[in-house]
Amino acid sequence: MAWERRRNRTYLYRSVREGNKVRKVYLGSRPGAQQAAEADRRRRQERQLLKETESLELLRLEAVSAEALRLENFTHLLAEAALLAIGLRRLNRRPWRPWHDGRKAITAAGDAHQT
Amino acid sequence: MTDAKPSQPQEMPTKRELHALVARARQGDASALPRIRVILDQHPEIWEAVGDLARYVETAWIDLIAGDDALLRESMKRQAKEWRASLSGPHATQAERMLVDLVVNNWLAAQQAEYAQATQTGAGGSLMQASYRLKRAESAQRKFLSAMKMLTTLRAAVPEGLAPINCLRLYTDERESA
Repeated sequence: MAWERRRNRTYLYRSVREGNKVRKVYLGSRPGAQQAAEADRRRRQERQLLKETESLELLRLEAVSAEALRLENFTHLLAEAALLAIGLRRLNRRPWRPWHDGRKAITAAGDAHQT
Repeated sequence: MTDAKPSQPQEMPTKRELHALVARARQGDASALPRIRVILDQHPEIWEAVGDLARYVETAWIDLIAGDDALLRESMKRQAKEWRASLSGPHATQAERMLVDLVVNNWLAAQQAEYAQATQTGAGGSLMQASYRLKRAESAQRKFLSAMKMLTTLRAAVPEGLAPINCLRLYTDERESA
């Protein structure tokens, strides 16, 4: 929306895009158009505020999501470690099964620790 | 639960070592297992670290959902507490408690995504934003179900509880049968 000066008088126009063309819509001259200009300014301000709030929300969301991902990776690591530590093993995303070599290694380490 | 906000937990060297050991065990190197057991049994700080991180993430999700609404905040806290209590049961092991924390956090993430989708879909915004919110809600739901599945798998694989009691049981069983 802009004030345009024509023949020593100012008129208010709003640019409206229609496909590839931009058409100017006449809104009036002072002081009637001033109210429309003010309403437009307020609307633009509100839109800007909403945009800023949304981007702030998005930033906070990304920060929390990053920490949540860290927690997920850490938990999966510990759960896998706990299952391995009791002699289970998982091959190619199949169910967890007893791992004989693993249990032997755990038993041997236990014996060595006792002696 | 206290009102003091938990601070952001830091990375620890034991975690890096554990990561490397688990990677070795995944490749079939059984010699990594005794050290994994030692880390799990003798380094309680690793369980504390994951607990701290879970509490930090939980508070952050509740902050994001409730904002300035004190009533909603309290309600979310109580719901999370109830979830935790009902999923853990009276004799949960450390690993179970850790997975229950993950389930609760993923539930909160799913709640936040659903809430954002419900409140912001009608409030303007582009189609891309709506699609992003929908995808996030679906992803959060999947993660929640995946955490639940992992907890169930753990309980099915080790019904009597995990280390150290179960380790001792396996160890003594094998010694007796030998």
